[in-house]
Amino acid sequence: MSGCEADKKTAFSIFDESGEICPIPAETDYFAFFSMPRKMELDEFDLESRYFKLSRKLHPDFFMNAPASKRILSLEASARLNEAYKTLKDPIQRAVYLVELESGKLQENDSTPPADMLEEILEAQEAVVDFKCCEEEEQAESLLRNLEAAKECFEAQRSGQRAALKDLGERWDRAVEAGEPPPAEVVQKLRSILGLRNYIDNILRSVQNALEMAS
Amino acid sequence: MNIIIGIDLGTTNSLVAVMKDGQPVILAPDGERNIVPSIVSFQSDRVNVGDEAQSGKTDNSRNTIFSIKRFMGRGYDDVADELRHLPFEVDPDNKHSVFVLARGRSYSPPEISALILRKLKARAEKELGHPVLRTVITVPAYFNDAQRQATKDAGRLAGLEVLRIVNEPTAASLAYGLQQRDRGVIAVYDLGGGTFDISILRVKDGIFEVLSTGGDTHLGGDDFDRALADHLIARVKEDSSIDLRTDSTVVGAVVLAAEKAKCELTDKEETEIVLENPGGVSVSWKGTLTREEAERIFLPIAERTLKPCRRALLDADLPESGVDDVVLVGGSTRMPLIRRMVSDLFGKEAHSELNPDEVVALGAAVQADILAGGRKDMLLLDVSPLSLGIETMGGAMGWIIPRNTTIPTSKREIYTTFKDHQTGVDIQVLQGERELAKDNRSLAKFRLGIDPAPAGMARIEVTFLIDANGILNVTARDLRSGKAASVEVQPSYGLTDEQVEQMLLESFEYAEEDIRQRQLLEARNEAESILTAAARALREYGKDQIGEKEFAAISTAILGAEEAMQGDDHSAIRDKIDALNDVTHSLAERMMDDVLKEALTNKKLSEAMKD
Repeated sequence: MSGCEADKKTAFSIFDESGEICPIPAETDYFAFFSMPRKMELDEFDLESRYFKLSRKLHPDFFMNAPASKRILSLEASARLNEAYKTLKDPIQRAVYLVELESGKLQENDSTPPADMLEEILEAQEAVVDFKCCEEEEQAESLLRNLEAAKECFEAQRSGQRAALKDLGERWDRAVEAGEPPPAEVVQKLRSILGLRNYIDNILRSVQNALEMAS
Repeated sequence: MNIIIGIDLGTTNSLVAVMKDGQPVILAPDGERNIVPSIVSFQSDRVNVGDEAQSGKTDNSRNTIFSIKRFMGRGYDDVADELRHLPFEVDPDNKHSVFVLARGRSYSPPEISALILRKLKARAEKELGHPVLRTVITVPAYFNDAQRQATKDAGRLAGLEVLRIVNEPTAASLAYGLQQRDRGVIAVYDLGGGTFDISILRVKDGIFEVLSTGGDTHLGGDDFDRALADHLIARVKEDSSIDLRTDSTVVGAVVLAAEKAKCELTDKEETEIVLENPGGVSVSWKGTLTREEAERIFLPIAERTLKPCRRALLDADLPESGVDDVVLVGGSTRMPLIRRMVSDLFGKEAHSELNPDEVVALGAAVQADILAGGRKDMLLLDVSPLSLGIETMGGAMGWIIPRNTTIPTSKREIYTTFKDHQTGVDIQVLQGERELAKDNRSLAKFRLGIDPAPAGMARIEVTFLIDANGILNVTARDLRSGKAASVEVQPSYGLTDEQVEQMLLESFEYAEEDIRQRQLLEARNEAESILTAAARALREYGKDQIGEKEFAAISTAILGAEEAMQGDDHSAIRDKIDALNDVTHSLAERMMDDVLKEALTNKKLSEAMKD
């Protein structure tokens, strides 16, 4: 166990000198798990092969005959590994995770919708509510059209953010490579875009649910 | 013994398989079928399982339980609709979970499943020649927590340690993976007797990564049979104005005829259906059914599988053309209609090289071998099929772990109190995809024990962990003291640990009952043969040769033994046998002497003749 303790502060290690699983400290970040730098841009193939390699070492399947304490460690470590992989493999989730590591959880006030979208958002929310209580078939059809339009509008909004995210991500990574903290302006802009995205995603989900109910 | 068996506990049929020389094989005694029908028939003096229980479906239908898998981990309200199709009854006193009734006793679905598992266990032990204690059991990928837990309970009741619950389509992909593909995207379309699953996997370097899964736990071959039976009943009514729907035994007989017709239409374009006094009602009806007609009836049911398929593709972020191979699993995929629909959907012919009835059990054996440490190059990374959440203020669903998350997985949440000195927090855990808590399935209620403190001061960290079986485990920690907080779990459906313990005890009593039955049978047999011998001796020797006193004593003993045989106390029978043995002792000796003398005389004669 001494090997585990020593590694806790610096380069974290999942295994001690004898190759046994160590308990994973709660504060361990997902990048440390894969021994990868805390960057926005990441080689997804490299991530996958590291994930597979670690899965082969940590998965409960390989600890069936181990003592109970080791079985629990394997279960917990696998759960953490899967969460880490899921978060890092998706560029958006990865960006949210990095931004939150750097500057705290995204808050409600990060996600205030911009004034120019307010109208569309209100319309869409109204359409969803109406659709749920609507009984007239004719009315349902026009509401359905509204919902489809709202969905398209939000999806366009979402993909429009891609270029901005990419640019901010590159600026972030350049700072990290230079050994500096990411510029405050970049962090602020990322928070605002990601917060809005969250907001749009929530609306998009209720629109999609309403559409799915209709099909 | 380190061996781990793989069991496919199916709605209609069950199988057991094991790894032999690197290949999975189904275990079955010579001359018996590989499949064991998932039927349990309670006779007056014994319980039949499998093929022996088959006839019970017609001649003992009220005490013959089948399709029990549909009731595993379900509430009464979930299945009320299906009950009208079934000839057996459920316990009216138990509305919370479903219990079935047979011969006046009420059984939980895991208890019935355990009887099937016992049969499979015995089968494996006989074939392998040693006891088997550990197993992997497959379940539909779309099974929820309660259904998985019920399956684990069944294993425990059957005296098996269930090391892993594996999803059926993923198990099938393991069996196929052994055979051919080592990379690419596979879609497994699994339509069994009572459940439908679709799973999309990516295979790479021996890692089978499930991307998404979907399905319907109440859709399968049985539904086609019932729809066709409804059609037949309508035709009979039209032709003879007799309504067959009045009696569940009659309906059961029509469903059997429908099932037979459905199977025949797999290879034939049309079939003749004969209903000759179904279930004892005096009706004679004959008609033909073409495949086209049948497919018109089947189509709406078959189409219900398409939506989950599309959603699974969407969740996997793949177009229909992104699937490299399609694998068919489950007996219902033999239907030409299904094959056409699947190949239309994915734009390619589906694989069916492995027997669709056996491939899941074969895959379970592969997974068992991985767990036993035999195979190290393959690894299955499965997902949880349904989103997990808790009920939030106002009755909304608060999402905690989204569907299609790779398992094991965990999520920590922090809870606090709203009132001063509150000593507990209730958490309702739900599974499902709907926005409102009430529309989702309640898994359990947890009560967190909290040390009294001012409102908002308590900080309890709750960890929701879904293990590799897809089963939820909850632990809690008081962040202020660092101590583990108590979590009281009340499952919404299914059995509590105490109930399982009780059933285990009862099943031991039940086993004891079995032994008593056997002892009784043996005692009766023995009494029977000694009584026959004594009666013959009395007749042959008569009162004169035996002597009046002895004759009377023997007669009394015979009467006593005959009386004891009417009862079911094996030791009372034994006592009377002993008493009869005692009084016939000298007579028996005399008879023996006579036999000996006779034998000697004969010998002398034969010797004399030889000379």
